[in-house]
Amino acid sequence: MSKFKLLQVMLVTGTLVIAGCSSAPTDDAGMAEDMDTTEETRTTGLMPLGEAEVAEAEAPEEEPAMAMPSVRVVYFEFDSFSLSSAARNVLDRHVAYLRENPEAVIVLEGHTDERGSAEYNLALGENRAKSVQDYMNLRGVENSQMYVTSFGEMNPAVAESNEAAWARNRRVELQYQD
Amino acid sequence: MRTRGNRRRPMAEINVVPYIDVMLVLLVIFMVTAPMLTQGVDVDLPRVSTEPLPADEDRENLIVSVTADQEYFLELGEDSPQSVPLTEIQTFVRQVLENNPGTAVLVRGDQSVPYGRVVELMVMLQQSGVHNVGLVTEPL
Amino acid sequence: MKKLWLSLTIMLTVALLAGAAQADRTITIIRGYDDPFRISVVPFVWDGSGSEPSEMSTIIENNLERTGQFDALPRSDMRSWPTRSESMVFREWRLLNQDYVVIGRARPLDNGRVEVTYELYDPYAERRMIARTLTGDRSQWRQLAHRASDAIYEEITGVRGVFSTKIAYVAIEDTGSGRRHTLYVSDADGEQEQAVFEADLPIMSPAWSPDASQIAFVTFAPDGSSEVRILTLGDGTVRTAAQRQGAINSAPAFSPDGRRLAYTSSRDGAANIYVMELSSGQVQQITRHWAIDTEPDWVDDDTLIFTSGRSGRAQIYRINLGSDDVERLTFDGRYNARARASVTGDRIVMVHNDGDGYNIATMDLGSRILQVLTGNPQDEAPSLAPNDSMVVYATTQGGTSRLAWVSIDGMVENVMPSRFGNVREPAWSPFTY
Repeated sequence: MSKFKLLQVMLVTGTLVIAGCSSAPTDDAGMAEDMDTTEETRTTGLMPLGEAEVAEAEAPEEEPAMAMPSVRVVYFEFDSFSLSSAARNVLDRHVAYLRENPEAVIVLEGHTDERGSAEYNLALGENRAKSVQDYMNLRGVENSQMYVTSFGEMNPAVAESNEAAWARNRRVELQYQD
Repeated sequence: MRTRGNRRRPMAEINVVPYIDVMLVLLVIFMVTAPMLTQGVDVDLPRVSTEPLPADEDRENLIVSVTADQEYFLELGEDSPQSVPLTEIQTFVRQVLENNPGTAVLVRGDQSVPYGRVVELMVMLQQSGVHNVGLVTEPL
Repeated sequence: MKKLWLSLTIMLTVALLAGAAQADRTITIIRGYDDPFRISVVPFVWDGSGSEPSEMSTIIENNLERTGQFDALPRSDMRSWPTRSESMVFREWRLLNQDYVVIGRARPLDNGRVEVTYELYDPYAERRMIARTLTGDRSQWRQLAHRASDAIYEEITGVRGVFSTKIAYVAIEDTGSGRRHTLYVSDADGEQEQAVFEADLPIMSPAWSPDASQIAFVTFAPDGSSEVRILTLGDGTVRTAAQRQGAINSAPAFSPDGRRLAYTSSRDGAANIYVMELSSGQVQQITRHWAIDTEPDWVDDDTLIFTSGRSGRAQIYRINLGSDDVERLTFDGRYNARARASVTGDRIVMVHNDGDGYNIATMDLGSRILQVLTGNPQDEAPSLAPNDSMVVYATTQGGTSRLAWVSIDGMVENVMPSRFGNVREPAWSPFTY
């Protein structure tokens, strides 16, 4: 893959992240503010490289009935594992995809920001992943299609100590398995 | 500071010595009777009537002796004290003041030692930051 | 909240070992006591090659000064460097205002071994308090110096020294392509670190066995599930103690009798506390709550403390293993977590947040008074020294986390500069002899 093309894909997926999140109703106001302030960083560098490559690989293929959703992360409030409506919007697309593709398996990987104790955060990250699992299960996704893990605060998306970075780190990543 | 009560003495007499002029004025000089316990190198102290050294259990005084043959000794209670050059006394005085500010220095000068030799020592002490110098005498 | 350290009017900033070559390994003393013991550690003489014995006295000096209870006389302020009792001139040390004087000497023995003799004096009482001889391998200068420091500290303060103990901690280094996680064991002063386990996936929560022969810790299986492993330091072997796919198993803590391991598992859904009999592997569930229960530690062989989110926020609770009675211990502050109990069981240290950042706090379990010990924005993972005198913890400032120490009364604080990226979760070992 040429560097140019990769960058292009990253920009596209980045834009989709914004689209997904900014469509959130206002009950998630605090989060929406954080997103706005970090938009610049996010579109250029924060999407994990691996995800961009996956998105690039599947996007132009034989155009299946439904494409694998490209927004594969949902965010949380501090010390909370309840789903915002922005998060639910993102998850609804995965619900639709997973119901249509019962052979697809997804790993729900919970993360927290660095504040507070590492062990408490490990459990909090698991709770976040589990609330995603519960939500999708209630909407018809088989539990056998979902697999929950947590890294707590140990694998931040953004290794910085500020409100914007913390907001990006309080997340569940949805990773489709091959 | 060990400058309590009547241990102070007027400075007037000392001011007549020209070459130590202003500097020495900062020194508080007091005359003391040799404490009974203080042993040291053999020095024939001047015999005059002065106050005995006030007992201060917590405070150690630095004692420098000047013997009849004009050697300097630090009185540290060593078994066989060695004479030391003035510069070494100065180094130790500075170390002591650094860690134990306000330490008084007692000079045990032999009465036969030339006046200039004692003044030399006192100027050094003053330059090293000593504020209290006691001249030790023998009771009558 | 009463922050005791604020009452200190004079903050001492003493950089030890001003030598530039050592600067990157220097511990900075941020605060100390107003009226420390004044001690002179005279350079040890050595009738062999190399300069190690002189370093020995520096190590002893640094050990004592780091406690904040001692002020060591600079060598340049010593008039003489006695090495035997015959050459001790007590008056000289009294004039220098020294409460204690340490002298010593070392000589080579056969087979690469050395003999070190050290003596402690009280120049006011004109009395020798200690005269001891140690032997060791030539490579053990530091251990010998730490042993001497232990004895000197105990003789003067009446409290057993912890200079010979160890600290385990996790370092995270950026490799460019990812992060490298290493479990280190170092001396209590952070020196002589040795990597004992490495992984690409995170390492968390090191915990010592009561005989200091093993370290339990958490790492991650390739599938992403956290698991508890136990490392035996003697032979370097690692075994998995608690693991289940799709669940967390973490936060290990050895019981004081060394026979059981408390840990957290979400094997039945929510994160709860379990206790495993180490010889049989038999597991007993201790807490049953839908909220997060984690970070267990043992107050004694029948009592655990743990963090729970059952009140809505993390707070510290205590449970008696016999009766299953749960009691909330912390009410002060919006967040209290990761508590560790003292060996005596009468005090805990924890991470505390009252809206002002994450600080280290301690609570006397008798009076239940909580005292905040540190004032940095992000302090974590406190661990008590086995003599209860100091707490080691990780402090994050400027994006880098480092090891730091604070005395249990909050009066003394030291910080170690970062040596390998980020240093996390220090665990202070039990006494090693």
